[in-house]
Amino acid sequence: MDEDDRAVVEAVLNGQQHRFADLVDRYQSQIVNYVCRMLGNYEDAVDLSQDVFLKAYSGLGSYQPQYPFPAWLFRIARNAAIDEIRKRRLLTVSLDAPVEFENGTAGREVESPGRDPQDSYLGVEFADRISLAIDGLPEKYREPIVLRHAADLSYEEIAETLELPIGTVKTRIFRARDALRRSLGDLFEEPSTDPPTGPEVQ
Amino acid sequence: MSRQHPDRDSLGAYLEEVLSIDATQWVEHHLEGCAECGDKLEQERAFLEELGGLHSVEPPADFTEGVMARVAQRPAYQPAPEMQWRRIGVWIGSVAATMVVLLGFVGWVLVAGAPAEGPEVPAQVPDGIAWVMKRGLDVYFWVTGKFDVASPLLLIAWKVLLGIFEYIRQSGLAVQLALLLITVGFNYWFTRLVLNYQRRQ
Repeated sequence: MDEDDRAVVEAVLNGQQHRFADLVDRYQSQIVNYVCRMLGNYEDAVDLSQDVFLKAYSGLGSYQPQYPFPAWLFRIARNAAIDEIRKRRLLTVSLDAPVEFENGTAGREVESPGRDPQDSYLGVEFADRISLAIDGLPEKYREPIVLRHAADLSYEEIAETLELPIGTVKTRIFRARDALRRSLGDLFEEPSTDPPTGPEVQ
Repeated sequence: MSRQHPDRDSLGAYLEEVLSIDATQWVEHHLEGCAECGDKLEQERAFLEELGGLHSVEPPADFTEGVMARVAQRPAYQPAPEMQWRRIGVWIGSVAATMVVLLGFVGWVLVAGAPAEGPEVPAQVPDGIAWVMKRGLDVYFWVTGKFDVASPLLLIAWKVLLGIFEYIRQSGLAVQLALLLITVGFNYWFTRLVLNYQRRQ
């Protein structure tokens, strides 16, 4: 976090409510991109991102200036996105679940809405293929790589946001990239089979 | 060129500038003579650029207004009372410090030509200022008497201060005003620094 964020937070806490707009201007793009990637829907992402900033405003008194502001803000965004995803899961009705009738139960018959998944996969744009590949990653690898590349956070900020050691964050991001390279193998070669000989990252 | 090749992760970390200085130098040295790793580096660069495309959506133009309209419905924060008093105290102290410096300068202008050997208060100084200067000298002699070792240092500091005042006295009005602004600006900056420090505690 830079010194400027702290000064703005201090001003807001001292009654200059309008200064909060500076923080919204500064982080809205990163937050919307992050939430959009988490939820997969732009309109919902914009609505939820506004809620995130509102929550941040309400909780500003609990922000501790020795920690980076973006990490604090992204923790709020992350919790909000996770809550939203959980809520949606609860509302989703399984297509395999039987429908109950007065005289018994019956299975659902649902027509396929479109093309064969394989055709769809080949037909989508490359950017969508990356998105699909990221969506297929396990959660613990997906989150760091989304924070790194969709939200443009630094490794340090990701570590603060996820409350993980920075080494763990780097390992997860590198493994996620390996998995993505394998998924997108026709354009990016498989990782080298050489034994890892690289130097340690900072 | 070193015999070992950097792996993909290291090349990625190199492009993101998160390698240590030693590791960066090692990779750069290796790349100078290894075309194969040069190709891998370009592939990695293209890959990271594609991943950068994940940051692809922009919020609507009225996003900030939308948030602020909802924020405006909430009460503005009020500084905690003790913090407010502390702030007022710091500002009063700060303004007082500036006034002491300014009064010191005015006093010096009035007593211009004071002997170089040591501080004295000439008779022509107005009563009020003479009283302030005498008290100042009392403090000076008390401190120097109390801490013998510091005495030469204090005398040097005193003479440096008088030298600065003398320089200002002999300068034109523009320089005097500029220095006045610098003093006030420094005072403002220093006070903000103290307040920020207090807030972080």
